[in-house]
Amino acid sequence: MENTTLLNRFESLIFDKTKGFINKEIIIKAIAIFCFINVIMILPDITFLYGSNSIIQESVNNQHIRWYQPIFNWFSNPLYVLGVPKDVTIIIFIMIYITSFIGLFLNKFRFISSIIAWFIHLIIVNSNFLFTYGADNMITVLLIFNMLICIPFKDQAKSNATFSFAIRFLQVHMCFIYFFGGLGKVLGTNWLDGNAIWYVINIYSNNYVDLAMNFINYPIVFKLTCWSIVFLELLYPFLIYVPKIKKIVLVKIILLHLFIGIFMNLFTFAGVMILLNLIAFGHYLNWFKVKENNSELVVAFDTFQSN
Amino acid sequence: MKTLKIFLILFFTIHFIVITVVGFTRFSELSSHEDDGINPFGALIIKKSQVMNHLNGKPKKVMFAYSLFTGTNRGYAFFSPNVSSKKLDLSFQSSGKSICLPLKCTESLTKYFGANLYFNSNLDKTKERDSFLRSISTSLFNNNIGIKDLDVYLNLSMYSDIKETQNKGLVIQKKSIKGFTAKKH
Repeated sequence: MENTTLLNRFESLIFDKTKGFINKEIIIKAIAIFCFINVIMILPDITFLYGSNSIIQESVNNQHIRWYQPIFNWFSNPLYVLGVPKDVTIIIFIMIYITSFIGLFLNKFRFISSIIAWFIHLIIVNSNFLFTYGADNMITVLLIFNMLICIPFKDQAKSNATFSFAIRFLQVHMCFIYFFGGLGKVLGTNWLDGNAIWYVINIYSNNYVDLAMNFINYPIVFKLTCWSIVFLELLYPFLIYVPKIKKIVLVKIILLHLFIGIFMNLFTFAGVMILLNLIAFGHYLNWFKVKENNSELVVAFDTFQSN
Repeated sequence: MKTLKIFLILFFTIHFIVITVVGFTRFSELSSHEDDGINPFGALIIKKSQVMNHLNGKPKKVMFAYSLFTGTNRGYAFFSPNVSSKKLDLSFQSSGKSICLPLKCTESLTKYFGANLYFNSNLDKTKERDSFLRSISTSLFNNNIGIKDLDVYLNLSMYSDIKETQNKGLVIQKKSIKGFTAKKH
């Protein structure tokens, strides 16, 4: 009997909570805008990244990917035989990619758009595998999540259950990301002695070296910064669920990513991590009060004070 | 509804098993030597993670294939276990004249920097290093029609740690090595 109750509670926790989360419509639109901006950011360099004049040639890229990972050449090679230049095929795919985000934003063919967006993102990532970094993998996670919440169900109950599941799925995923991030850092030595942040400043953000030099005789500043990052990442899976501090933890992790964006110039990485955190746990902040009135959304900006 | 819930729970379970396996497999690939900046706890975790190497080949292959499609293939231990004290830049010259990469956007340059980090960690693998440099050279030949030869320089900067900087000020040791010479055919 008790087991049944526990099982019911677990089921309810995973599938039945939809009211408290950030509205699905806002989430999909935010994902569409973010990914749209992301592709626009590399558009002027597209032929140097993926085209016939690419910095990393096909033969080199192929050494780093498996045969089943989709790449532009799957499509550009056969079309080339038909007289379509390779760069034109790539540009057509990028246009389809951009259109898929417009479709997601405008709620036109949303599920198909979400699949196309994910698939073309994989093609982009795999076609220049050496040029991919953490942000690209995080965008893949974001687009998988997006597909999940875009599945069109005729039954509203199924749609709600899937949305609730997707948010819980993302929450657990974020916990895994930070746990492994924190655990990786405690294996070494320089996240513990403070040198990690010192090297980050020197290598990634040398505009701030002079500022960091002011603290060189106070190594505790570097140690504390490193320890707080490791502590936050390693214990994120627990701290993010502690009622009294969960908002502070969320704000801190967002600030951490803001600093990564500003100081390390990893703008896309910072952006996607902030977005993932806001989708998963943004409802803690009550920034958006959403009133549903005859299926029309009224979004009002709320203040922190309401919390 | 019940079928949907079972399907989703199955997906959930598989997904997080894959993340765990990939995560610990990435740790198992690390060197556990103290000289490589691994602490005793790290050495223990790396040793325990090597259990993942004994996983049956086929399920592991399927898991890694799944991870490639879900963005979970690289694990999540960014800047771990240590942040390198070295920075490697590539520069290109033709007849003493500096040649720039054609990339214009910040995001493309970030991606290129990511490739450099990969290149940096595989510097001792001559075959991979040369194919990477040959590829960049070919692209630069195509973008700069006039040039006939290209020298690729590896510019290594090594930064002093906090203790050394306290004693001697910031010391950056710089080395520039001609890593590759390419000629246009």
